[in-house]
Amino acid sequence: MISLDKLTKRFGAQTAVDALSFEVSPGQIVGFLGPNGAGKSTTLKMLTGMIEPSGGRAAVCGFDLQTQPIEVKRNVGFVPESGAVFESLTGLEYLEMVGALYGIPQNAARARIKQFIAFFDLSFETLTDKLLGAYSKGMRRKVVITSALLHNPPVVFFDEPLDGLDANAAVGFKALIQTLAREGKTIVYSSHILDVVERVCHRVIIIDKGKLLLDGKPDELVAAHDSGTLEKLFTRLTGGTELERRAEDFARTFRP
Amino acid sequence: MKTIFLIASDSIRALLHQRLLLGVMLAWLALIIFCSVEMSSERNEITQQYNYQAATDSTGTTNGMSKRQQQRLRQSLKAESSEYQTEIYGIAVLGGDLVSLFIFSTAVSSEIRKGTIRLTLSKPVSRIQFLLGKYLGGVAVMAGYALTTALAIVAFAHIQSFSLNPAIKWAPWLMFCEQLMLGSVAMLLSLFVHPLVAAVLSFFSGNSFYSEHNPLYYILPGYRDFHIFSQVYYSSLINWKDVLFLSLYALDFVIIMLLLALWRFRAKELI
Repeated sequence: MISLDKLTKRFGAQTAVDALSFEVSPGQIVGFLGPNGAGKSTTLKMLTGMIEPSGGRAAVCGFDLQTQPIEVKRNVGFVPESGAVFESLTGLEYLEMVGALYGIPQNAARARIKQFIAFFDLSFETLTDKLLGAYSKGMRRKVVITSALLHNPPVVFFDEPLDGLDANAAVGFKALIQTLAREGKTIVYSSHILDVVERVCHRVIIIDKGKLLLDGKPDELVAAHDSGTLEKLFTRLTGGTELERRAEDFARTFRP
Repeated sequence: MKTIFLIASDSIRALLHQRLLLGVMLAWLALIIFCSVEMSSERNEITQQYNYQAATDSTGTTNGMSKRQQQRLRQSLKAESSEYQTEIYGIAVLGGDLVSLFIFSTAVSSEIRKGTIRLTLSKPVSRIQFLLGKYLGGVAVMAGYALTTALAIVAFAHIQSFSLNPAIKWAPWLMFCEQLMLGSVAMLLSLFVHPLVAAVLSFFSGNSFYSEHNPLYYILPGYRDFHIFSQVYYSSLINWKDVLFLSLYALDFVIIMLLLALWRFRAKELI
């Protein structure tokens, strides 16, 4: 469903994504991990057609990223990390515009929107009467997630989707993506919350400095590297092994 | 095409929510009321002046003004109405220029700065469609402004019971063309610099700041040609061929600016 072949992105002299190659089959939930600046968001932006690759190739649902970007976008949903929303539109106006962009008839879009807001415990009056600028962080997140799933895409990219969601919404969301995967959707899930990734994802891909470090099932990787948890494996791979000691040393500086 | 119209209608809706047009209309209403009061007051003064002259004139008829005095009164009132028409038109042009600069300098750049462009471009929208949609949304808003201006001028003339000068019927259209040109420059520059800087630079991008001996005079846009203040004031006629030529000039200019903006926007890294 997703295929990357030496996908590369350079910004001037800096290589953000360095010849990344992997494939994702339908029905998989893939955790896409890496420290800050690893190239995760850049990779997701390329795969969603927002920025053009500098080299390599990629295909989503059989559509080539560089020659068929609009077809790729029709088949993906994307929840970006930033909480930016169109503050001068109501939630309903934004979602109906998204529905229209995907060619969903207005009645069908309205019905689906109502299903989603019922799932997320939002009121329809909130969606119609309040501008997105007045929504809380969690409410905005729910609207953006709805916009990513409204057109029932076969591939969905999530970049820190739980940010801003309360505990109940987070639990519901995790159950949602597991159900979506069972129905054959491909989910790429980028997050810093490794215990969630470990529980939810069938497979993890860890990158650092734009390069692929590891790719495999979480429990198999943890066992192979004898690290106990995915978190310890991650810190070992990405140079975070001294963190506990450094935290202790730093905390001592606050002692009187 | 449908995508471009969707983006445009989205922009219009966002601007309406910002109460931009409502604010402009209220400002126009206030201006009409103010000008009506001022004009009525001045007309009364002028009429009283002539009546006083007629009453104290030793050579005039004993009842009211002479024909010559009546003619001079009519000329004074006409000059006064021309002055007000020109003033209202001038305020409309300045106000419209500022509205245009605000709308077009922030249309694309604000979405890039806020990050909402990621929400849009992850949908089946190309960068070309996005840019054209944003520009079209601004065009629709400026068309609304031009229409409001036209209605305000007509309403004012009706309230004050005077005839509009012939040139003023072209004023809203020419103002609209000029503001679209200005807006296209603002949109292009906003892809290079901060929107406020883009707006300021655009405002001073006309060739009227340079003499005809300066090469920049022939490169920079001629906004001044769209300002028909003297024609309005002196009730001159404007040839429809001149209007057509200016309209085509504006269209060509906007197309060139949008092509440059597209070139820049496509190359811009949205990180």
